[in-house]
Amino acid sequence: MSTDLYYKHVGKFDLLTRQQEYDLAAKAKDGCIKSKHLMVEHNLRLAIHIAKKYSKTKCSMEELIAEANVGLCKAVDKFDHTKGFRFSTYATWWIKQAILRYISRSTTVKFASGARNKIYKINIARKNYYEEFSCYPEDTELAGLLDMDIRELSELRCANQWPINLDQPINSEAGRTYGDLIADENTPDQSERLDHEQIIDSIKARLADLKPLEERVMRLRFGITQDAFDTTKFPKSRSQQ
Amino acid sequence: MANKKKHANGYATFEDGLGFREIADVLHESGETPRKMRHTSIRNYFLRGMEKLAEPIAKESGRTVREVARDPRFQIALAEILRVDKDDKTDIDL
Repeated sequence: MSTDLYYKHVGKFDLLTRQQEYDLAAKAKDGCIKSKHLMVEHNLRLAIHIAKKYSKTKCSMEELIAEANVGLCKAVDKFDHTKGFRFSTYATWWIKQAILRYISRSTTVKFASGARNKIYKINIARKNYYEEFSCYPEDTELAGLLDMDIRELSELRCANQWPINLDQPINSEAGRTYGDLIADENTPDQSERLDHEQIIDSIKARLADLKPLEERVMRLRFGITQDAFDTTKFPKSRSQQ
Repeated sequence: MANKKKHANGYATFEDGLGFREIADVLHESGETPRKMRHTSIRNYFLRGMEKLAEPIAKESGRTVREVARDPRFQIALAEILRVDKDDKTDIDL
């Protein structure tokens, strides 16, 4: 079903009056499945209304509505009509909780819900600060404003950076990706390589200074000959020449 | 009580390489030495050769020639250089 069709379908259900809601909730509490279904159906518009508030996240509207409906079902199961509140008041929190949990699950970097709330507060505080002073606050300043530990705040801000796909091309440079910009730490730089080569050359030059027996001993010690006992197979050392 | 300690970086071992006593046997059997040498003499020949080759590294690193020559990491690297040289390869990864 497309989203438009779903909206049309949901629009058919009118809002429940306080009395209707009370009666259905009472029956649902006694285990009446039909009453539960009716309560859900008549509050689908509420789920959509709340899901729309999170439409700016990376999640699609269909996914948000589906999660909101999960929260709505949970609210119907747990609603206590005897307390005298309207169902929508109670369900709103369950729907928000379901959506927020889904959003936190669907991001690349996973956060505990507490950490996510703190990040939300940090972002709001930074935004407010920028609107007031036209510049972003330092971490120390922000920690003071939010009464948070500076280390925790810095870690949360680092973790909150949006991940970049390494294979994504860089806009300004055709054919290059972000991955190309990362240095390979295993490759020695050219000057280091040249130094290595110079040292190796100088060591090789010193090979001529070795006495024949020294050279022979080193060859045997290093196992440069494949069969040390059969000397005829190997290049003759100078001691044999 | 032994007065020698294991080297800080362990001992160098070489694939297909021989011990000093085995080298003494090989040299004697092949007639390269008139009589069988002691393994300590073979070690001295080996270290003397290593000291000659260690000079460029010692200059670079600021360590003594003696230290570098006895360093198992240097010995292993040198064995690799000589082996690659023998196999006529140009890529050397120290």
